[in-house]
Amino acid sequence: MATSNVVLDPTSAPVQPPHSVTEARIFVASQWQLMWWRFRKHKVAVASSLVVIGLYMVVLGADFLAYADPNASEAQRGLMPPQRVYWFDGSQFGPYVHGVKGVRDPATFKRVYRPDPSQKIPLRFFVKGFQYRWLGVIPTTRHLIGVDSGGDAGTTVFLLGTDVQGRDVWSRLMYATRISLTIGLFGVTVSLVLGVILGGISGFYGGVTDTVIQRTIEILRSIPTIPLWMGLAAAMPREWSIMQVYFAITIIISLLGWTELARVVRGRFLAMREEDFVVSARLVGCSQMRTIFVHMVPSFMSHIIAATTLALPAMIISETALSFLGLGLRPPAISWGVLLQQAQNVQTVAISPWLMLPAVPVIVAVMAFNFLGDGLRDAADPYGR
Amino acid sequence: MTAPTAAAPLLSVRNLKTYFAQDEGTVRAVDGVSFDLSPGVTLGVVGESGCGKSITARSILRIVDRPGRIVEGEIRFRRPGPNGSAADVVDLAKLEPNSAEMRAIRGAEIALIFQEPMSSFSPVHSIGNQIIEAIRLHQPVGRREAREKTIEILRRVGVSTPEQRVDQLANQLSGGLRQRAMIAMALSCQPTLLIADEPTTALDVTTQTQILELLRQLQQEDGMAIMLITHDLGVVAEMATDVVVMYLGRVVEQGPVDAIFHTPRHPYTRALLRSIPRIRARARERLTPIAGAVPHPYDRPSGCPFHPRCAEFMAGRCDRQAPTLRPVADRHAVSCFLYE
Amino acid sequence: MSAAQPPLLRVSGLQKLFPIRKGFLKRTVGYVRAVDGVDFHIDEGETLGLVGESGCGKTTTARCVLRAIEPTRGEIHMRAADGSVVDLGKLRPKELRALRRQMQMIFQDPFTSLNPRMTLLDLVGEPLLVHGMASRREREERVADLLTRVGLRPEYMRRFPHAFSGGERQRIGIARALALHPRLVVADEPVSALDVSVQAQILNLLVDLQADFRLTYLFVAHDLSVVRYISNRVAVMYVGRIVELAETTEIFETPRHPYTAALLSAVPEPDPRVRSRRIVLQGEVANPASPPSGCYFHPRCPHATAVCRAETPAWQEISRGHFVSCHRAHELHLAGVE
Repeated sequence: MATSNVVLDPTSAPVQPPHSVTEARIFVASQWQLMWWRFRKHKVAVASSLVVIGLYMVVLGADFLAYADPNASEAQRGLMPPQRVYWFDGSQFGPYVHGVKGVRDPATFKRVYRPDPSQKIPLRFFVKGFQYRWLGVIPTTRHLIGVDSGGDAGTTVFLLGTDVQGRDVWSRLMYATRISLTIGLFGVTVSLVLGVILGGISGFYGGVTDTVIQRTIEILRSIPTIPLWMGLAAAMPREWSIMQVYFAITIIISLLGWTELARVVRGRFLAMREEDFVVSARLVGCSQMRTIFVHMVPSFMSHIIAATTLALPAMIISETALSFLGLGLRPPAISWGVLLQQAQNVQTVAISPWLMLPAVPVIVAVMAFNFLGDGLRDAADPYGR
Repeated sequence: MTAPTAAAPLLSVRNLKTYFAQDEGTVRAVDGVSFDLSPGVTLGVVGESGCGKSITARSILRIVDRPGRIVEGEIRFRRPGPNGSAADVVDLAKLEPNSAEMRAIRGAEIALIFQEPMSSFSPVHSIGNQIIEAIRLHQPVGRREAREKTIEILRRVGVSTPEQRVDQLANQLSGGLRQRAMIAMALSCQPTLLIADEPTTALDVTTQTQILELLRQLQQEDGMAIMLITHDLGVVAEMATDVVVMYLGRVVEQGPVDAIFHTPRHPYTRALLRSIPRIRARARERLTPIAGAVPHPYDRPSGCPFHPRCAEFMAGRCDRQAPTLRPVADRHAVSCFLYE
Repeated sequence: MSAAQPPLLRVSGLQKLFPIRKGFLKRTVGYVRAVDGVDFHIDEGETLGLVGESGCGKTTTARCVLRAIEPTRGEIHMRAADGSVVDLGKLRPKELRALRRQMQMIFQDPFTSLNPRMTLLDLVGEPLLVHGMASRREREERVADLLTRVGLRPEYMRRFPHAFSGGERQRIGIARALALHPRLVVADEPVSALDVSVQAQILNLLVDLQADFRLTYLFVAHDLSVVRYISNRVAVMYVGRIVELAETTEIFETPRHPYTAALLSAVPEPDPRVRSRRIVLQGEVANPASPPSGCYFHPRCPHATAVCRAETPAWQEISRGHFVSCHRAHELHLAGVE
């Protein structure tokens, strides 16, 4: 903290030595820098942010990380368990998997897969596989992992096994991650815009406007969500394309999500109106616009960010739940919920439990977002005395 | 001003040090404080923000929040022996904060009243409820008897219609009444030592008069010792018998109240007395401020903590070593190189 | 102080009533009479101290004068720079904003009155910016000048408020208030939240600035010693009304209202040898939502009579420049401070 060498009082006593570099840095640190320093101390939140970044890397590179066409089905390869990867070929680093032979069990007449040790299929990196357009623009055929031959049933790899239609679970999981996480993002954006605008109007103007908006929020919040979603989802025409359904789902979910954010924003506006520095801004002559956007909004921006980050997991779970119930996205769309929907039977639990693996990224994503949001919320007010 | 009692001191603090270990460094909130307090005496502890007076009180009661802890020093408290037998001196610094002995002392033998009475009462329990709880924690009495005692003590501290007030919530009372209720709670077990931490700072000046008058009266009746912590020099002049002046965790001067106000020795005490506006002064008679501000706790000056602001700073001495408390007159001690 | 010119500020009949709403439909069941008929004037270049205990309405009065709060009733006449007298209460928002250049406020809490997200340059330069000084260089120069005037180093204009102590932040607040060279400055308890040793610095600064900038202060405080130091005249408020108004020395040495006398006697003097006779008031401060009948002070007044309970006392000038609102002002001999 600065002491007497800051004040030019002629009766100043002998001054202290100049401040260390660290202190000088703190003095000119803006709100965001202080927030960042506080956030860094929160180890779990930092780790969670890395997880979230990782998840969104998957979103960007889903095609790259997948190695099999997610929709390419082949009954021949149905319900194959995950293959074990051997990392060392002899003493060299050379990952490979065993080929698989499909054999009909003479007793049950069911197809059973047995690893064939005679076949060693080396895993390669950056191989050519099926074609896709990266980011929708750049056509390429490179994938992170794969096998040389590619395509032939006996010589492909199935890291997480296949589903009942013979589609590779790992590849489908990559695409599912992309869809599930982006629906969450769009939903939250819509909620954010609606919430900030309506909450801001409500808090800033007060009076009748405030009452009307608040009562509307209460009515909306008192509607039970699942029946509402079921109703809306049932009302969606079956002929709609996947994209249309996708956006419709987004809108449906964010229709209720904005209320939470609106209340937070309204609360902060109401509290902020009475703050001395806001009164000071008006007295100095700031226009209403300037007061709102330069003084009030930045003060709760960090809270909004934290609230938004915490709203994301709710969106993700909403979509997953809806699709799991068969009301949201449907095949051929792929999302975590859709994948889990297809695991909704005893056969899965008993025979092919790897089909339940999509639950893992749901849990991981939700937890990561929650910890991240907590960390942001704790760091959000760097000026707390 | 009462003469010092011949009896041994009730409370004897020796070289108390309470430090807080934070990420950014160690805050030496109390850095070697020593004083005595005898029965019937009011000790005024004066200082500005960051001087450590509140932490000293909390250290005595062993309610310092983590990460603070007492790293050194003794707090010798004389407990009355059972049935008037010879008294027992215990070092509070050595007791575990949650031990049965400490809990028996805290609230019963040493009581504390705070600046903000709203925060020391539960918002959902009546004040009577809480006073009854305090009584029954320390005395083997039934509910009915405890309730009667509560009404009596509320009456004694000047709460009108105590039979009705006893069932009211803290937020239904005005500031002055709340403070009286807090005093009632503190006195409910007849403590020998009352620590009052800025008891009137949050009150209006007319209410302050009432509360100070009440404290004086209660002290006369019960003979308890009072440790009065405040930053208001007027309150100290009015109430205290002896005064301890603290700055940044150290005692810079201590002595009888008349000596401190009329023959102050330490440059900080002198500067402080010169800088306060007085109601009897001529208007616009220029004040002499103390230059600078209280340093940040992480930015502790070397040597004597006051030297950057001191008008009588001696280079090479005051910034190198810290002075120690030495007597300069009868019961008057100063911690300054000017007197060494 | 030129007596010939009309006063810089004249307040008449100022009232601020806060409605008390209860029930589902939020019906108004009563009013909190925060400010209940206040009259005073301030001449150019002088300081009027407004003093009273909590709930007396002094802060509300100060905020009403600047129209930070909208008054319920009353007139606030200000003599503008061009000599015309305007009623601030009747101005439209645009005119008010223009006139705001001439009156500014210093706040009590240095920790909440500065936007923590703005640098000193932004804070002190904002008044200049919103009133048309677009050139950044010009603003920097003016801000540097202002910071020097309040005793801060101009190099620190890139720092944020959290880098400074309470006293320094208060200086920043003062610089911000002075940026537009106002004529009237309302200071709302500007030293109450500061350490004792720093209060004197800020008080000295305010006195010096008043001379340099030819400022007029409305100084709100609860600390009578501070008010005595800085004010030319003092107004004492109780439950929304001014009970006494006079020149500083006169009101401190010869108060004419029992409440003023009680207030003065209650201030503890930092001198153990002085034992003033305390007037200990009975009861609690009256509730502004349901004040007593007649004179608001009568339930606590040691000199109250029947008429005090029945009638509101008139605001009378008992001697030159000394106003009091008490039925018995003529006959009482009250003790002040020597």
